[in-house]
Amino acid sequence: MDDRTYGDFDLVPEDLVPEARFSMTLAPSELTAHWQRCGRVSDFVAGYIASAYAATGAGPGGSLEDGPLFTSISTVFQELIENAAKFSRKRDAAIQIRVKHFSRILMYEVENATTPAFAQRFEEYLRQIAAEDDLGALYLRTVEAQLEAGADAQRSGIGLLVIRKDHGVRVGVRFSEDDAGRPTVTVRAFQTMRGV
Amino acid sequence: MEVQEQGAVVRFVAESATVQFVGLLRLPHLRAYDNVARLLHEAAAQVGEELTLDFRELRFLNSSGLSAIGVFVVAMRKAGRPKLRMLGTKSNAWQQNSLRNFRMLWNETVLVIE
Repeated sequence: MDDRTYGDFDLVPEDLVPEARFSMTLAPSELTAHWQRCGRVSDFVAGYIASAYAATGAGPGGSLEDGPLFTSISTVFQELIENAAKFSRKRDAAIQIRVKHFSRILMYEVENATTPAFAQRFEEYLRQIAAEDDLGALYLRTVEAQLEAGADAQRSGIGLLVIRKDHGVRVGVRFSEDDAGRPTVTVRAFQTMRGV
Repeated sequence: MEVQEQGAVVRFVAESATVQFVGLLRLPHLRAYDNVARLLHEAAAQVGEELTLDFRELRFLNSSGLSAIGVFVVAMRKAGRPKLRMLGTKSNAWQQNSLRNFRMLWNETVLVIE
C-alpha cells in the first residue's frame, strides 16, 4: 500500500540542521502498564529543551518547571505520547521518538506500529479535522457528544484538536507499512516557542 | 470532600464554595476522571449561585481531563446553575491556552487568569 500523508508533515526540510536533537525508543506496554511514565517522558523532553532558556523561561517563582515554556512543551508532547501508547500494537511494537530544536521551532516525531482498525479510525479522524474550518466548533460538538454518550464515552478524542487549536501546533501524519506489512503511523508536530 | 489521584488532589472547600485542584492530572482516559467528575457534581449540588474552580496549582491537565471538565461545564449550562468561576495563571500553558474552552462551552463562565 502507498504511503498517505496528511497536514504539515514536511513543514521543515529533513536536511535542515537543528540546534539540538535527540531520539528515544519506548515500548508501548511499558507506558500503558505505568501510565505516569508518559508524564515523565513529556517532562524530560520539556526539561531538555527548556534548559536552554533558563534566563527567560522561568515561572513567577523562578522555577523553569513552572514556567510557560516547560509547561507548554510538556503539555503538547504529553498528547502525542499518550496517543502513541494507546493506539500502538500491544506486542512486538516500539514507539520511536525524534525531537529536533530549530531556533524557535520544535519538531516532535512520534512513530508507532498500530493495528489496521486503529489506523483506519485515526485516518477518518484526520479527515474530519481537515474538513472542519472551525476547530472551535468541532471541539464544542465533541464535548457535547461526550455528555450525550455518558458512561459509554471512553476517549476524549480531542488531543490533536487541543494542541492545534489551543497551542498553535502544526501537525502532519504519515500512514505507511513496516517491512512485515503492518500499519505504521508517524505523527509530526511543530511547535513555535513563544516568549523566549 | 476530597479525591486523591496519582499526583493530584482535588478538594471541595464548602466555606468558600471552591474546588481546588493541586498537582497534575494526566489520567489515561475520560472514564478515569469519574471520581473527579463526581466530586464536581456533588460540590455543585451544595453551593448557592456560584462555584469556583481553582486551577492555579494544577500544573498539567491532559485532553481527557479537559474533556471531563468540559462535560461538567455543559451539564451545568443545561442545568442553569451554579454559575462557574475559574481561576488560572498566565504562566501555565494549559491554563493560559485552554481555560477559554470552558467559556466557549458556557459563555456565562467567568475566567480569572492572572
